[in-house]
Amino acid sequence: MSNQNNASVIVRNQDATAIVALNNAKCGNLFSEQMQFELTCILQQLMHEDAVRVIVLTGIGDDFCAGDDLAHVAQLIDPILLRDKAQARARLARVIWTGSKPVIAAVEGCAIGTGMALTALSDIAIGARNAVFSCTHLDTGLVPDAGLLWTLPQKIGAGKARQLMLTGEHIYGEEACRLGLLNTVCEPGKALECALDEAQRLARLPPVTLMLLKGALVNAMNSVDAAVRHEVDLNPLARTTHDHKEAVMAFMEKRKPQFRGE
Amino acid sequence: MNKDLNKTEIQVNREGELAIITLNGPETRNALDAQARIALLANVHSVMRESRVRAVILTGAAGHFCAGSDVSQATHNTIQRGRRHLTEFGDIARELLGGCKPVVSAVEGIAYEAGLSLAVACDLVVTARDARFCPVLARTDLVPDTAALWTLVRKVGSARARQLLALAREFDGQEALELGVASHLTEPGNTLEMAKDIALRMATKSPMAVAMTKAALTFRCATFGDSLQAEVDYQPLLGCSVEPHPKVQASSTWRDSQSLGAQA
Repeated sequence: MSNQNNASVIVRNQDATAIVALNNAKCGNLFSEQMQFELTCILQQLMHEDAVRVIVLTGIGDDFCAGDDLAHVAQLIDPILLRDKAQARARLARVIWTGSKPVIAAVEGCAIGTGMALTALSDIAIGARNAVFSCTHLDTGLVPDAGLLWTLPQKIGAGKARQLMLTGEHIYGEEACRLGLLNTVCEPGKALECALDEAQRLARLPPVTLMLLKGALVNAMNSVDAAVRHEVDLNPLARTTHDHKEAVMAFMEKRKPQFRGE
Repeated sequence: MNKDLNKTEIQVNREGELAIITLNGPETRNALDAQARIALLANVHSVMRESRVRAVILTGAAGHFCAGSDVSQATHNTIQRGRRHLTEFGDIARELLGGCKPVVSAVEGIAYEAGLSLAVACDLVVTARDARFCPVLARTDLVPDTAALWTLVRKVGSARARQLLALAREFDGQEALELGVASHLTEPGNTLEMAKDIALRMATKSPMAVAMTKAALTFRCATFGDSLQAEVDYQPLLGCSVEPHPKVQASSTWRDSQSLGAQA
Protein backbone atom coordinates (compact mmCIF):
# COMPACT_ATOMS: atom_id res chain seq x y z
CA MET A 1 0.00 0.00 0.00
CA SER A 2 1.22 3.49 -0.79
CA ASN A 3 -0.34 6.92 -0.64
CA GLN A 4 0.38 10.65 -0.72
CA ASN A 5 -1.67 11.66 2.30
CA ASN A 6 0.40 13.00 5.19
CA ALA A 7 -2.00 12.31 8.08
CA SER A 8 -0.52 9.95 10.70
CA VAL A 9 -3.39 7.51 10.28
CA ILE A 10 -5.47 7.00 7.14
CA VAL A 11 -8.67 5.10 6.43
CA ARG A 12 -10.21 3.54 3.37
CA ASN A 13 -13.44 1.59 3.07
CA GLN A 14 -13.82 -1.63 1.16
CA ASP A 15 -17.38 -2.96 1.26
CA ALA A 16 -18.25 -3.39 4.94
CA THR A 17 -14.62 -3.26 6.02
CA ALA A 18 -12.74 -0.16 7.09
CA ILE A 19 -8.98 -0.40 6.56
CA VAL A 20 -7.15 1.74 9.07
CA ALA A 21 -3.46 2.23 8.33
CA LEU A 22 -0.63 3.78 10.33
CA ASN A 23 0.96 6.16 7.88
CA ASN A 24 4.59 6.95 8.46
CA ALA A 25 6.23 4.38 6.23
CA LYS A 26 9.66 5.98 6.11
CA CYS A 27 9.96 5.57 9.90
CA GLY A 28 8.40 2.10 10.06
CA ASN A 29 5.20 3.66 11.44
CA LEU A 30 6.93 4.64 14.65
CA PHE A 31 4.10 5.30 17.07
CA SER A 32 3.94 9.01 17.88
CA GLU A 33 1.56 10.77 20.22
CA GLN A 34 -0.11 12.33 17.20
CA MET A 35 -0.57 8.89 15.66
CA GLN A 36 -2.05 7.57 18.90
CA PHE A 37 -4.49 10.48 19.05
CA GLU A 38 -5.60 10.09 15.43
CA LEU A 39 -5.90 6.30 15.72
CA THR A 40 -8.04 6.56 18.84
CA CYS A 41 -10.37 9.15 17.25
CA ILE A 42 -10.72 7.18 14.03
CA LEU A 43 -11.42 3.87 15.75
CA GLN A 44 -13.92 5.48 18.10
CA GLN A 45 -15.77 6.90 15.11
CA LEU A 46 -15.67 3.68 13.08
CA MET A 47 -17.06 1.69 16.01
CA HIS A 48 -20.26 3.74 15.60
CA GLU A 49 -20.56 3.85 11.81
CA ASP A 50 -23.37 1.54 10.67
CA ALA A 51 -21.85 0.83 7.27
CA VAL A 52 -18.68 -0.54 8.86
CA ARG A 53 -18.86 -4.08 10.21
CA VAL A 54 -15.20 -4.99 10.54
CA ILE A 55 -12.01 -2.97 11.05
CA VAL A 56 -8.65 -4.01 9.65
CA LEU A 57 -5.62 -2.38 11.28
CA THR A 58 -2.38 -2.29 9.31
CA GLY A 59 0.68 -0.20 8.48
CA ILE A 60 1.61 1.58 5.26
CA GLY A 61 4.92 0.32 3.86
CA ASP A 62 7.08 -2.59 4.98
CA ASP A 63 6.35 -2.49 8.71
CA PHE A 64 3.31 -2.67 10.94
CA CYS A 65 4.74 -0.51 13.72
CA ALA A 66 8.40 -0.41 14.75
CA GLY A 67 7.80 0.86 18.30
CA ASP A 68 7.18 4.09 20.13
CA ASP A 69 8.49 7.38 18.87
CA LEU A 70 10.72 8.29 21.80
CA ALA A 71 12.00 11.56 20.36
CA HIS A 72 10.15 13.81 22.80
CA VAL A 73 9.80 11.45 25.74
CA ALA A 74 12.94 12.52 27.57
CA GLN A 75 11.65 16.09 27.91
CA LEU A 76 8.51 15.06 29.74
CA ILE A 77 8.95 15.04 33.50
CA ASP A 78 5.71 16.48 34.87
CA PRO A 79 4.00 13.49 36.55
CA ILE A 80 0.53 14.84 35.78
CA LEU A 81 1.34 15.12 32.08
CA LEU A 82 2.86 11.65 32.15
CA ARG A 83 -0.28 10.32 33.76
CA ASP A 84 -2.43 11.95 31.06
CA LYS A 85 -0.22 10.31 28.48
CA ALA A 86 -0.67 6.89 30.11
CA GLN A 87 -4.44 7.47 30.28
CA ALA A 88 -4.52 8.28 26.57
CA ARG A 89 -2.76 5.01 25.80
CA ALA A 90 -5.19 3.09 28.04
CA ARG A 91 -8.06 4.75 26.16
CA LEU A 92 -6.74 3.46 22.86
CA ALA A 93 -6.49 -0.06 24.34
CA ARG A 94 -10.05 0.22 25.64
CA VAL A 95 -11.44 1.39 22.29
CA ILE A 96 -10.03 -1.68 20.54
CA TRP A 97 -10.60 -4.32 23.25
CA THR A 98 -14.04 -3.21 24.39
CA GLY A 99 -15.29 -1.63 21.15
CA SER A 100 -18.34 -2.96 19.34
CA LYS A 101 -16.70 -4.20 16.12
CA PRO A 102 -14.10 -6.87 15.45
CA VAL A 103 -10.59 -5.60 14.74
CA ILE A 104 -8.21 -7.63 12.58
CA ALA A 105 -4.50 -6.81 12.59
CA ALA A 106 -2.58 -7.32 9.34
CA VAL A 107 1.10 -7.41 10.29
CA GLU A 108 4.10 -7.16 7.97
CA GLY A 109 7.68 -6.53 9.10
CA CYS A 110 8.28 -5.06 12.55
CA ALA A 111 5.68 -5.20 15.31
CA ILE A 112 7.83 -3.95 18.14
CA GLY A 113 6.70 -2.53 21.50
CA THR A 114 3.41 -0.77 20.78
CA GLY A 115 3.30 -2.67 17.45
CA MET A 116 3.22 -5.90 19.43
CA ALA A 117 0.64 -4.46 21.84
CA LEU A 118 -1.65 -3.47 18.93
CA THR A 119 -1.31 -7.00 17.51
CA ALA A 120 -2.26 -8.54 20.87
CA LEU A 121 -5.20 -6.12 21.27
CA SER A 122 -6.78 -7.14 17.99
CA ASP A 123 -9.50 -9.79 17.97
CA ILE A 124 -7.76 -11.61 15.16
CA ALA A 125 -4.15 -11.15 14.07
CA ILE A 126 -2.68 -12.19 10.75
CA GLY A 127 1.04 -11.83 10.18
CA ALA A 128 3.69 -12.53 7.59
CA ARG A 129 6.11 -15.41 8.13
CA ASN A 130 8.97 -12.91 8.50
CA ALA A 131 7.08 -10.47 10.75
CA VAL A 132 9.04 -9.83 13.94
CA PHE A 133 7.59 -9.22 17.40
CA SER A 134 9.31 -8.01 20.54
CA CYS A 135 8.37 -6.47 23.90
CA THR A 136 10.99 -3.73 24.09
CA HIS A 137 9.25 -1.84 26.89
CA LEU A 138 11.77 -2.70 29.63
CA ASP A 139 14.62 -1.51 27.42
CA THR A 140 13.11 1.96 27.54
CA GLY A 141 12.62 1.66 31.31
CA LEU A 142 8.84 1.32 31.04
CA VAL A 143 6.31 -1.40 31.79
CA PRO A 144 4.46 -3.04 28.89
CA ASP A 145 1.37 -0.97 28.11
CA ALA A 146 -1.57 -0.49 25.72
CA GLY A 147 -3.23 -3.43 27.47
CA LEU A 148 -0.33 -5.82 26.90
CA LEU A 149 -0.20 -6.79 30.60
CA TRP A 150 -3.63 -8.32 30.05
CA THR A 151 -3.76 -9.28 26.39
CA LEU A 152 -0.43 -11.11 26.12
CA PRO A 153 -0.92 -13.53 29.08
CA GLN A 154 -4.49 -14.09 27.89
CA LYS A 155 -3.36 -14.98 24.39
CA ILE A 156 -0.10 -16.89 24.91
CA GLY A 157 -0.21 -17.96 28.59
CA ALA A 158 1.41 -16.43 31.66
CA GLY A 159 4.73 -18.25 31.38
CA LYS A 160 5.52 -17.26 27.82
CA ALA A 161 4.21 -13.72 28.42
CA ARG A 162 6.63 -13.23 31.33
CA GLN A 163 9.46 -14.61 29.23
CA LEU A 164 8.85 -12.26 26.29
CA MET A 165 8.24 -9.24 28.53
CA LEU A 166 11.28 -9.77 30.76
CA THR A 167 13.79 -10.79 28.09
CA GLY A 168 12.56 -8.69 25.13
CA GLU A 169 13.53 -11.58 22.85
CA HIS A 170 12.37 -11.54 19.23
CA ILE A 171 9.86 -13.98 17.82
CA TYR A 172 8.92 -14.41 14.17
CA GLY A 173 5.62 -15.12 12.41
CA GLU A 174 5.59 -18.93 12.68
CA GLU A 175 6.48 -18.92 16.38
CA ALA A 176 3.98 -16.10 17.09
CA CYS A 177 1.29 -18.22 15.43
CA ARG A 178 2.27 -21.35 17.36
CA LEU A 179 2.08 -19.38 20.63
CA GLY A 180 -1.32 -17.85 19.81
CA LEU A 181 -0.32 -14.22 19.29
CA LEU A 182 -1.15 -14.62 15.59
CA ASN A 183 -4.19 -16.57 14.40
CA THR A 184 -2.80 -17.06 10.91
CA VAL A 185 0.63 -16.79 9.38
CA CYS A 186 0.99 -15.95 5.68
CA GLU A 187 3.64 -15.27 3.04
CA PRO A 188 5.34 -11.84 3.22
CA GLY A 189 3.26 -9.19 1.48
CA LYS A 190 -0.01 -11.11 1.87
CA ALA A 191 -1.11 -10.08 5.38
CA LEU A 192 -3.57 -7.40 4.26
CA GLU A 193 -5.08 -9.64 1.61
CA CYS A 194 -5.59 -12.47 4.14
CA ALA A 195 -7.02 -10.00 6.66
CA LEU A 196 -9.52 -8.71 4.10
CA ASP A 197 -10.67 -12.29 3.35
CA GLU A 198 -11.16 -12.87 7.06
CA ALA A 199 -12.98 -9.52 7.34
CA GLN A 200 -15.42 -10.60 4.63
CA ARG A 201 -16.25 -13.74 6.60
CA LEU A 202 -16.80 -11.73 9.79
CA ALA A 203 -18.90 -9.16 7.91
CA ARG A 204 -21.41 -11.88 7.05
CA LEU A 205 -22.10 -12.56 10.77
CA PRO A 206 -24.96 -10.83 12.62
CA PRO A 207 -23.47 -7.49 13.79
CA VAL A 208 -25.53 -7.03 16.96
CA THR A 209 -24.67 -10.51 18.23
CA LEU A 210 -21.03 -10.00 17.28
CA MET A 211 -21.06 -6.78 19.29
CA LEU A 212 -22.60 -8.51 22.32
CA LEU A 213 -20.05 -11.32 22.05
CA LYS A 214 -17.08 -8.99 21.84
CA GLY A 215 -18.38 -7.06 24.85
CA ALA A 216 -18.90 -10.29 26.79
CA LEU A 217 -15.37 -11.51 26.12
CA VAL A 218 -13.93 -8.51 27.98
CA ASN A 219 -15.01 -9.82 31.37
CA ALA A 220 -16.49 -13.28 30.82
CA MET A 221 -13.12 -14.92 31.44
CA ASN A 222 -12.69 -13.37 34.89
CA SER A 223 -14.61 -16.20 36.57
CA VAL A 224 -16.96 -19.02 35.73
CA ASP A 225 -19.77 -17.04 37.35
CA ALA A 226 -19.02 -14.07 35.10
CA ALA A 227 -19.09 -16.33 32.05
CA VAL A 228 -22.47 -17.79 32.91
CA ARG A 229 -23.91 -14.41 33.88
CA HIS A 230 -23.00 -13.00 30.48
CA GLU A 231 -24.79 -15.85 28.71
CA VAL A 232 -27.87 -15.35 30.85
CA ASP A 233 -27.88 -11.59 30.34
CA LEU A 234 -27.02 -11.45 26.65
CA ASN A 235 -28.71 -14.33 24.88
CA PRO A 236 -32.26 -13.19 25.69
CA LEU A 237 -31.27 -9.84 24.14
CA ALA A 238 -29.84 -11.52 21.06
CA ARG A 239 -33.03 -13.54 20.68
CA THR A 240 -35.05 -10.35 20.27
CA THR A 241 -33.09 -9.26 17.18
CA HIS A 242 -34.37 -9.43 13.62
CA ASP A 243 -31.11 -11.17 12.70
CA HIS A 244 -31.75 -14.08 15.08
CA LYS A 245 -35.22 -14.62 13.60
CA GLU A 246 -33.76 -14.32 10.10
CA ALA A 247 -31.09 -16.94 10.95
CA VAL A 248 -33.74 -19.39 12.16
CA MET A 249 -35.95 -18.77 9.09
CA ALA A 250 -33.00 -19.15 6.71
CA PHE A 251 -32.05 -22.44 8.37
CA MET A 252 -35.60 -23.78 7.97
CA GLU A 253 -35.80 -22.57 4.37
CA LYS A 254 -32.32 -23.92 3.56
CA ARG A 255 -30.99 -20.55 2.31
CA LYS A 256 -28.26 -18.08 3.33
CA PRO A 257 -29.41 -15.54 5.96
CA GLN A 258 -29.35 -11.78 5.21
CA PHE A 259 -28.33 -9.97 8.35
CA ARG A 260 -29.00 -6.26 8.67
CA GLY A 261 -27.79 -5.47 12.18
CA GLU A 262 -31.17 -5.04 13.84
CA MET B 1 24.79 -25.03 64.17
CA ASN B 2 25.97 -28.46 63.04
CA LYS B 3 24.74 -29.65 59.74
CA ASP B 4 22.17 -32.40 60.08
CA LEU B 5 22.67 -34.64 57.08
CA ASN B 6 18.95 -35.28 56.80
CA LYS B 7 18.01 -31.62 56.67
CA THR B 8 17.93 -29.37 53.64
CA GLU B 9 19.93 -26.17 53.96
CA ILE B 10 19.39 -23.04 51.91
CA GLN B 11 22.59 -21.65 50.43
CA VAL B 12 22.94 -18.28 48.77
CA ASN B 13 25.86 -17.44 46.51
CA ARG B 14 26.34 -14.08 44.91
CA GLU B 15 28.07 -13.87 41.56
CA GLY B 16 28.22 -10.28 40.43
CA GLU B 17 24.66 -9.18 39.79
CA LEU B 18 23.22 -12.67 40.30
CA ALA B 19 22.06 -14.30 43.53
CA ILE B 20 21.94 -18.08 43.31
CA ILE B 21 19.74 -19.78 45.89
CA THR B 22 20.46 -23.50 46.21
CA LEU B 23 18.27 -25.99 48.04
CA ASN B 24 20.88 -28.31 49.53
CA GLY B 25 19.81 -31.57 51.17
CA PRO B 26 21.01 -34.50 49.04
CA GLU B 27 19.67 -37.10 51.53
CA THR B 28 16.06 -36.04 50.93
CA ARG B 29 16.53 -34.78 47.37
CA ASN B 30 16.26 -31.23 48.75
CA ALA B 31 12.86 -31.70 50.36
CA LEU B 32 11.83 -28.76 52.49
CA ASP B 33 10.95 -29.13 56.15
CA ALA B 34 9.66 -26.27 58.29
CA GLN B 35 13.12 -24.90 59.00
CA ALA B 36 14.19 -24.98 55.36
CA ARG B 37 10.94 -23.33 54.32
CA ILE B 38 11.46 -20.44 56.69
CA ALA B 39 15.09 -20.10 55.61
CA LEU B 40 14.08 -20.10 51.94
CA LEU B 41 11.44 -17.44 52.50
CA ALA B 42 13.92 -15.29 54.45
CA ASN B 43 16.58 -15.66 51.76
CA VAL B 44 14.24 -14.92 48.87
CA HIS B 45 13.06 -11.82 50.74
CA SER B 46 16.59 -10.70 51.43
CA VAL B 47 18.01 -11.11 47.89
CA MET B 48 14.97 -9.26 46.51
CA ARG B 49 15.96 -6.33 48.69
CA GLU B 50 19.67 -6.23 47.81
CA SER B 51 20.21 -3.44 45.35
CA ARG B 52 23.26 -4.96 43.67
CA VAL B 53 21.36 -8.18 42.91
CA ARG B 54 19.66 -7.78 39.52
CA ALA B 55 18.41 -11.33 38.95
CA VAL B 56 17.87 -14.45 41.05
CA ILE B 57 18.37 -18.14 40.28
CA LEU B 58 16.66 -20.91 42.23
CA THR B 59 18.19 -24.38 41.95
CA GLY B 60 18.85 -27.60 43.83
CA ALA B 61 22.03 -29.43 44.84
CA ALA B 62 23.32 -32.85 43.79
CA GLY B 63 21.33 -33.37 40.60
CA HIS B 64 17.84 -32.69 41.92
CA PHE B 65 15.65 -29.61 42.22
CA CYS B 66 13.30 -30.40 45.10
CA ALA B 67 11.24 -33.43 46.10
CA GLY B 68 8.56 -31.31 47.78
CA SER B 69 7.89 -30.77 51.43
CA ASP B 70 9.63 -33.07 53.88
CA VAL B 71 6.76 -35.30 54.99
CA SER B 72 8.74 -37.08 57.73
CA GLN B 73 6.98 -34.71 60.16
CA ALA B 74 3.62 -34.99 58.48
CA THR B 75 2.20 -37.48 60.99
CA HIS B 76 2.33 -34.81 63.71
CA ASN B 77 0.37 -32.35 61.62
CA THR B 78 -2.42 -30.35 63.14
CA ILE B 79 -4.75 -28.06 61.23
CA GLN B 80 -2.98 -25.04 62.65
CA ARG B 81 0.45 -26.35 61.73
CA GLY B 82 -0.82 -27.17 58.25
CA ARG B 83 -2.11 -23.65 57.78
CA ARG B 84 1.22 -22.21 58.80
CA HIS B 85 3.12 -24.55 56.49
CA LEU B 86 0.92 -23.63 53.52
CA THR B 87 1.09 -19.94 54.28
CA GLU B 88 4.88 -20.09 54.28
CA PHE B 89 4.96 -21.90 50.94
CA GLY B 90 2.43 -19.43 49.58
CA ASP B 91 4.56 -16.51 50.74
CA ILE B 92 7.60 -17.92 48.95
CA ALA B 93 5.62 -18.30 45.71
CA ARG B 94 4.23 -14.79 46.11
CA GLU B 95 7.71 -13.34 46.48
CA LEU B 96 9.09 -15.30 43.50
CA LEU B 97 6.16 -14.25 41.27
CA GLY B 98 5.63 -10.67 42.37
CA GLY B 99 8.96 -9.73 43.98
CA CYS B 100 11.07 -7.06 42.37
CA LYS B 101 13.79 -9.14 40.60
CA PRO B 102 13.45 -11.60 37.74
CA VAL B 103 13.81 -15.22 38.88
CA VAL B 104 15.00 -18.20 36.83
CA SER B 105 14.72 -21.75 38.13
CA ALA B 106 17.29 -24.34 37.03
CA VAL B 107 15.72 -27.78 37.30
CA GLU B 108 17.68 -31.05 37.29
CA GLY B 109 16.29 -34.41 38.38
CA ILE B 110 13.23 -34.43 40.61
CA ALA B 111 10.77 -31.51 40.86
CA TYR B 112 7.87 -33.02 42.72
CA GLU B 113 4.90 -31.48 44.49
CA ALA B 114 6.04 -28.18 46.12
CA GLY B 115 9.25 -28.56 44.08
CA LEU B 116 7.21 -28.32 40.88
CA SER B 117 5.21 -25.45 42.36
CA LEU B 118 8.36 -23.51 43.27
CA ALA B 119 9.85 -24.07 39.82
CA VAL B 120 6.78 -22.74 38.01
CA ALA B 121 6.49 -19.76 40.37
CA CYS B 122 9.72 -18.49 38.77
CA ASP B 123 9.52 -16.20 35.74
CA LEU B 124 11.54 -18.59 33.59
CA VAL B 125 12.18 -22.30 34.03
CA VAL B 126 15.29 -23.94 32.59
CA THR B 127 14.91 -27.70 32.67
CA ALA B 128 17.20 -30.64 31.94
CA ARG B 129 15.85 -32.94 29.25
CA ASP B 130 15.54 -35.80 31.76
CA ALA B 131 14.19 -33.79 34.72
CA ARG B 132 11.10 -35.35 36.30
CA PHE B 133 8.15 -33.15 37.22
CA CYS B 134 5.08 -34.38 39.08
CA PRO B 135 2.23 -32.66 40.95
CA VAL B 136 2.20 -35.67 43.24
CA LEU B 137 -0.22 -34.25 45.81
CA ALA B 138 -3.31 -35.77 44.23
CA ARG B 139 -1.87 -39.17 45.19
CA THR B 140 -1.83 -38.16 48.83
CA ASP B 141 -5.38 -36.79 48.96
CA LEU B 142 -4.29 -33.17 49.15
CA VAL B 143 -4.96 -30.20 46.91
CA PRO B 144 -2.04 -28.55 45.08
CA ASP B 145 -0.23 -25.87 47.09
CA THR B 146 2.46 -23.21 46.76
CA ALA B 147 0.23 -21.28 44.33
CA ALA B 148 0.25 -24.11 41.78
CA LEU B 149 -3.50 -23.68 41.29
CA TRP B 150 -2.72 -20.19 40.03
CA THR B 151 0.61 -20.63 38.25
CA LEU B 152 0.02 -23.95 36.50
CA VAL B 153 -3.36 -22.95 35.12
CA ARG B 154 -1.90 -19.73 33.78
CA LYS B 155 1.18 -21.37 32.31
CA VAL B 156 -0.27 -24.46 30.66
CA GLY B 157 -3.96 -23.54 30.31
CA SER B 158 -6.90 -24.78 32.28
CA ALA B 159 -7.56 -28.04 30.42
CA ARG B 160 -3.98 -29.32 30.65
CA ALA B 161 -3.60 -28.13 34.26
CA ARG B 162 -6.72 -30.08 35.23
CA GLN B 163 -5.36 -33.17 33.56
CA LEU B 164 -1.91 -32.91 35.18
CA LEU B 165 -3.31 -32.21 38.63
CA ALA B 166 -6.03 -34.83 38.55
CA LEU B 167 -3.82 -37.63 37.28
CA ALA B 168 -0.67 -36.57 39.17
CA ARG B 169 1.21 -37.83 36.14
CA GLU B 170 4.98 -37.54 35.93
CA PHE B 171 6.42 -35.75 32.87
CA ASP B 172 9.98 -35.10 31.74
CA GLY B 173 11.83 -31.93 30.75
CA GLN B 174 11.01 -32.29 27.06
CA GLU B 175 7.29 -32.49 27.82
CA ALA B 176 7.60 -29.67 30.37
CA LEU B 177 8.81 -27.44 27.53
CA GLU B 178 6.00 -28.52 25.22
CA LEU B 179 3.40 -27.97 27.94
CA GLY B 180 4.71 -24.51 28.79
CA VAL B 181 5.81 -25.51 32.32
CA ALA B 182 9.41 -24.83 31.28
CA SER B 183 10.67 -22.00 29.09
CA HIS B 184 14.08 -23.47 28.16
CA LEU B 185 15.41 -26.99 27.66
CA THR B 186 19.01 -28.16 27.91
CA GLU B 187 21.12 -31.25 28.51
CA PRO B 188 21.40 -32.68 32.04
CA GLY B 189 24.04 -30.90 34.10
CA ASN B 190 23.82 -27.68 32.08
CA THR B 191 20.74 -25.99 33.57
CA LEU B 192 22.59 -23.73 35.99
CA GLU B 193 24.91 -22.41 33.27
CA MET B 194 21.99 -21.72 30.96
CA ALA B 195 20.00 -20.10 33.77
CA LYS B 196 22.96 -17.81 34.49
CA ASP B 197 23.15 -16.73 30.84
CA ILE B 198 19.46 -15.89 30.78
CA ALA B 199 19.52 -14.20 34.19
CA LEU B 200 22.48 -12.04 33.14
CA ARG B 201 20.55 -10.89 30.08
CA MET B 202 17.56 -9.94 32.23
CA ALA B 203 19.89 -8.21 34.69
CA THR B 204 20.56 -5.53 32.07
CA LYS B 205 16.94 -4.32 32.09
CA SER B 206 15.74 -1.31 34.06
CA PRO B 207 15.26 -2.57 37.68
CA MET B 208 12.23 -0.36 38.37
CA ALA B 209 10.48 -1.37 35.16
CA VAL B 210 11.17 -5.06 35.88
CA ALA B 211 9.83 -4.71 39.44
CA MET B 212 6.66 -2.98 38.29
CA THR B 213 6.05 -5.37 35.42
CA LYS B 214 6.31 -8.37 37.78
CA ALA B 215 4.08 -6.71 40.36
CA ALA B 216 1.51 -5.78 37.72
CA LEU B 217 1.45 -9.28 36.23
CA THR B 218 1.08 -10.86 39.66
CA PHE B 219 -1.19 -8.51 41.59
CA ARG B 220 -2.79 -6.04 39.19
CA CYS B 221 -4.13 -8.15 36.34
CA ALA B 222 -7.33 -9.73 37.69
CA THR B 223 -9.33 -8.07 34.90
CA PHE B 224 -8.69 -6.09 31.72
CA GLY B 225 -9.73 -2.90 33.55
CA ASP B 226 -7.30 -3.66 36.39
CA SER B 227 -4.39 -4.09 34.06
CA LEU B 228 -5.08 -0.79 32.28
CA GLN B 229 -5.22 0.96 35.65
CA ALA B 230 -1.85 -0.63 36.53
CA GLU B 231 -0.33 0.91 33.38
CA VAL B 232 -1.75 4.30 34.23
CA ASP B 233 -0.46 4.09 37.81
CA TYR B 234 3.02 2.72 37.07
CA GLN B 235 4.08 4.25 33.77
CA PRO B 236 4.18 7.91 34.94
CA LEU B 237 6.35 6.89 37.92
CA LEU B 238 8.85 5.26 35.59
CA GLY B 239 8.72 8.17 33.18
CA CYS B 240 9.96 10.62 35.80
CA SER B 241 11.98 8.38 38.09
CA VAL B 242 15.44 8.30 36.58
CA GLU B 243 17.57 9.73 33.83
CA PRO B 244 16.36 8.73 30.42
CA HIS B 245 17.57 5.32 29.37
CA PRO B 246 20.40 5.57 26.80
CA LYS B 247 18.09 4.12 24.17
CA VAL B 248 15.71 7.05 24.56
CA GLN B 249 18.45 9.51 23.67
CA ALA B 250 19.78 7.40 20.85
CA SER B 251 16.41 7.21 19.17
CA SER B 252 16.04 10.95 18.70
CA THR B 253 18.83 10.85 16.13
CA TRP B 254 17.70 7.51 14.79
CA ARG B 255 14.78 8.76 12.76
CA ASP B 256 16.58 10.17 9.77
CA SER B 257 19.74 8.07 9.70
CA GLN B 258 19.48 4.46 10.71
CA SER B 259 17.60 1.52 9.33
CA LEU B 260 14.58 0.16 11.13
CA GLY B 261 16.43 -2.87 12.48
CA ALA B 262 18.16 -0.56 14.93
CA GLN B 263 14.98 0.06 16.86
CA ALA B 264 14.42 -3.65 17.31
